[in-house]
Amino acid sequence: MESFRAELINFIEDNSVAQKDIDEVVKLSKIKPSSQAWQVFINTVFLSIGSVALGLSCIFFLAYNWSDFGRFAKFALVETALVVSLIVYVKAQAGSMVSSATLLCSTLLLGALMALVGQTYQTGADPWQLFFYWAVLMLPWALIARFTTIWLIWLVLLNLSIGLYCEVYLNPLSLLLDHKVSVIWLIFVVNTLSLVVWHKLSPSRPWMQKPWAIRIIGLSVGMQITSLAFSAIVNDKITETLALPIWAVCLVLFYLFYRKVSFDLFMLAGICLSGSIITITLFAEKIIDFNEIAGFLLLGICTIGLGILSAFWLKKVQVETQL
Amino acid sequence: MSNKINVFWQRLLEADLVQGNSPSHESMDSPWYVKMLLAISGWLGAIFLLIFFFIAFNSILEAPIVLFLISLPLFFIAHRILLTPKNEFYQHLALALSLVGQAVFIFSIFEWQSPELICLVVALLQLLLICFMPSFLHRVFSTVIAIGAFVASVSVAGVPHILLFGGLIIFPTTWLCLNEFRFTKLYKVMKGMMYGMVIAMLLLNSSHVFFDDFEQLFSSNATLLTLPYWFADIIYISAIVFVTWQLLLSNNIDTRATFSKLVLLFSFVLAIATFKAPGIGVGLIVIIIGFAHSNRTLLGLGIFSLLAYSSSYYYMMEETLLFKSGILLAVAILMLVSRLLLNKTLPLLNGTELYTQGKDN
Repeated sequence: MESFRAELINFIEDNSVAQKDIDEVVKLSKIKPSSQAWQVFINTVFLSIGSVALGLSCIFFLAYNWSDFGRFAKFALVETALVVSLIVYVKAQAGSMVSSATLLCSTLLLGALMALVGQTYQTGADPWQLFFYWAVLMLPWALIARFTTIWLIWLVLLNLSIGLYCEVYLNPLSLLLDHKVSVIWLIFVVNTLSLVVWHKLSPSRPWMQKPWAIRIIGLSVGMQITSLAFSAIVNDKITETLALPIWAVCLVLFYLFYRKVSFDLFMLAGICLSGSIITITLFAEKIIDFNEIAGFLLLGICTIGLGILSAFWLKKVQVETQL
Repeated sequence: MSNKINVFWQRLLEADLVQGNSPSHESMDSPWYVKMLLAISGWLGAIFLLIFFFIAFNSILEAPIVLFLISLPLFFIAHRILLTPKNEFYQHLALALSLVGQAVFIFSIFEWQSPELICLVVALLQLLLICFMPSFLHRVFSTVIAIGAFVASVSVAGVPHILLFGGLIIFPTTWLCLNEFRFTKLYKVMKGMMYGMVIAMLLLNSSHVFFDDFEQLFSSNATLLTLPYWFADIIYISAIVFVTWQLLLSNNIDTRATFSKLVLLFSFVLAIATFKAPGIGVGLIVIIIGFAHSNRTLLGLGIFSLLAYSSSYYYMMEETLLFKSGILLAVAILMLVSRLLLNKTLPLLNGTELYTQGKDN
């Protein structure tokens, strides 16, 4: 999709292109893909949607409240599907579209198998086990396949396991700490470590260099520390927890890394959003009780002002990097 | 990016399609996430201003005529700000003021006691704002609200099945997406409307999954129009085939050729397989239309909507899990078999140019 779409739109909006020439200009902008590009795209879309739909279909089928379908038949069904998809994966060319799609399908089928085990042997009382064992069992595939999507699914499963585990065991770190640790702190630590490891390993591994994957993990880290700082302010525990100082450190580290070391405007926009949210929350906590009417007016002005500052700064950074 | 601008400008110069120097880099558009950040700031700011407004002027804001009269200068100021030189800051300040104006206007007509009329007036107000507010974000927002308000209005008035509108909106949205550059003078208006219509199309076709009570909320005893339930399905199926037909035309492929007939047949079968889960078909349409014009935003929207729809589809109570499993299996088989056939008939696809009408040459 290497086209001049953004440039074409800029020229049209600047009235640099005459209406009579538009067909010719659009043709030169190469926004319409070639038949070969269409073929590759359709291949990818059909394979991806087909594989995911097949995996989901199997999960939905097993989740249906069957009365005349025995447990062995269910196991046979899901295990056969899993084995077939793994055979297709092994037969497919390494790193090809087919291998990626079948691995994705196998991952979903593994989840279905774990759910079936939980359903049959009544381990459903601890749902964290389903996601934890799912993550553990798919780990070898993730290690071998070197497929970004699979690693992100693995990370999501790990997050879910931690979240659900903390619902059952209220103090998961009781051996190390006396007081209860918030689940968001645990997930924040896990995701921050993942982000650091991902950045550390990605230079030598091309499959880890996809910006969207790094952005998803970075976004998750940012959301967690922002929500921790937010709840510390709202619950009036600014001095009792380390949320606000750690949030500030994270903001500075993110700024230094994504501005100076590995430029990413997406992450810088995230810093602006997080900074605005926490500043406005702090401001709101301090002035609303003091004077409600003036408080909301000032909050409105402050919010718009922070938006303006963010806009100017991000635009400046964007232009600087383009020149 | 700046290099790409110069390269493209040079090509246009060589083809004698433009004159002079290329537009400055300052006018470059911001990425979607910067726009989203600024939109959040603008809208949050508007909420605070609105709260301030209602607390501060509580005593005089009870009369509808006063509310109406206050909304007018807010729209006027927003419009004037948007006419100033292009800058994200002004856009969001104006958007915030306009949102306050819209809320005040809606409060002024609240006592009419006629939900269908209120919704219709809101839709008409949004249409006016699309035309007069020179802002991309404002137009996207106004288009989504206008369509939502119109659908709510006719639903309350007695036109059944919200999914009917989900199918109907596919026709103009597809046409607009594939003809976005047809009217260069109106491009800024068309662009905002296009994204707004795509978002509204995705929401309407997913309403039965995401908003369980959406249809009930607007249901009434009135019967302005009586339609059988399958009518919405027929509209949806026709719309999917229409999209394919438009895509073929847009790529200058002869619709009478065997290849085209096969593609149309595929889209018909896909529509049959997904008419009980229109979010799948519509998500796929957005992805394909996005690719057809190298539009990454539409591609992302389509992928996001497919992921959101398929993960929420499990919890939809309207159908049994067995039925939903069957639909997903049908989609999977259709996709995988079609891919297999596509690769078997590779020479046919490679020879697509043979079927074109030669308009490009």
